[in-house]
Amino acid sequence: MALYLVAAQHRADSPFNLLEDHTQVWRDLTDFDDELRAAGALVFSRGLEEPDAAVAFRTHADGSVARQEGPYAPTTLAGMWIIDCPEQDAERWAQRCAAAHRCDVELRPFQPHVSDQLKELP
Amino acid sequence: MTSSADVAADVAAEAFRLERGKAVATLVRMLGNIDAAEEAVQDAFVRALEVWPRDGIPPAPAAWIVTTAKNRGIDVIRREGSRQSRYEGAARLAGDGTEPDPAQAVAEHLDDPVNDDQLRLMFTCCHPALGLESQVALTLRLIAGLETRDIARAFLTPEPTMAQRLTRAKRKIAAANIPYRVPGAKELPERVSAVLAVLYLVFNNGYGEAQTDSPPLSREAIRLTRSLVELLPHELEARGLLALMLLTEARRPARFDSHGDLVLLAGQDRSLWDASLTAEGRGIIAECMVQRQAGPYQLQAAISAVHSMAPSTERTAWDQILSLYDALFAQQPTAVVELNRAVVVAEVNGPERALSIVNGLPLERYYLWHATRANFLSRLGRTDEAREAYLAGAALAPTEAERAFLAGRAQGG
Repeated sequence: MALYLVAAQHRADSPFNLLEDHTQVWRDLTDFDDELRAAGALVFSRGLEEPDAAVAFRTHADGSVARQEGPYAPTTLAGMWIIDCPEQDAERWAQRCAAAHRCDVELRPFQPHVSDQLKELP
Repeated sequence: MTSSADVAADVAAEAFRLERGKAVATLVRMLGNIDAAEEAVQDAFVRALEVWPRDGIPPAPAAWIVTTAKNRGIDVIRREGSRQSRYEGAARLAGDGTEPDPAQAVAEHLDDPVNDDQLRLMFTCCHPALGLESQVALTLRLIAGLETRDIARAFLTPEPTMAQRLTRAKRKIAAANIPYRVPGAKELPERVSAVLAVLYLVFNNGYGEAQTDSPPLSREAIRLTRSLVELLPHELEARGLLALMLLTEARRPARFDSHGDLVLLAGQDRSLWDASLTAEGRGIIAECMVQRQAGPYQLQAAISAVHSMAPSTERTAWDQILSLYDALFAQQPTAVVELNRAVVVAEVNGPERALSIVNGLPLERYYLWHATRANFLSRLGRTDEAREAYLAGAALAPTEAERAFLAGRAQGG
């Protein structure tokens, strides 16, 4: 078993953005979540509010942090799943996610927890 | 169809065979109606045959089946449900449809609600308000996922009769408002033993048969008992029953000769016993017995385990088996247990002592009583009486293999 981020990316030319009625997408995504849950693979899933609802915190070279309204950088991230599944299943889940969501998705494995990484240090 | 589509269809059939029981159990909880649950799962199967060959096999076929069947169930409720049941169904599904708290989701995502559903349904199927035959039939249909025609064949019943029995039993569950839940701690031991009795009956029904083409009911019973043990790991008697089934099933290859005739324990070629089943059964019962809470299934498994360790009848630890039978008889003082105990007494104290025990038992209608007497009589050199007893046993034997065996013995075979 391994943890993965499945990140949905909405680009201007994503089929999702070309659809007028998204009802079927929401239905398919509900099924996708139900299926993940029934398989015991769903850790977390949510869509994100529009990028303009984001607040950025910028760290400067001197270590100071400044608050900044609006998107920090151009972003396409629109929603995310955290799944816990056998490694051989991860790509198939991501594929199903892309099909249900009608957009690109990125599958990224998580690193070990930072506290575990600290233990590895000499 | 391309070959990959064939593969997908095969995978779908196999996944449904394995997962049908779990999916029905989950759907019964969601829909509150057994017929609707079965129908929804059947619909999901048809859908899988359409979709899987086209889109590929889903990563978690079981999860796909439950999710798809649930949606079908919702459709059925919307389309056909009366107002009353629509509200009930909607209320149930609302409980399921609310979005989980993300913080809790992390903690809960390892839980397996499917198994709990199956356990609940098992207790519903084996509810004492239903007759024993109905309990067995429902368990095979809903938990094991067998087709009605296969259950009918196993019980030598015409298919329409079995279908009716199932329908009546399901109606009774609804009418009597039999609760769909795992019983509380107070009733649990009694209700577990009802479930175990049903599973043992299923097992024995399959074990009486010689090898057939269809997967024998005994294997199905082992599978179900195995899942019961996983669901209720602290129930030692469930473990005991599993061990007993495994040790008994292990002997199957030696139980019939090449002509399909029955071979008794004493005459069996022990090298044919399935070593891995024997080892597993022995491991389970050894773990149980150290807890010193041995009930009837554990004791019977222990007896079977002692047999399994002996290279031959002569080199069997009969005294150990006798003390296990004494413990069994103390818990189950029945004539059948005493009959079986007498067989061991014959090995430890001689056939004369054993015969006097058996003569006093009120089992004239039981073919094995005659067969056991016949065996003792023949060992005592009382040949004519032995022949008569074998013939009486043959006349009462329930299967053709056993009848032929006893008739053969009557002729000195």
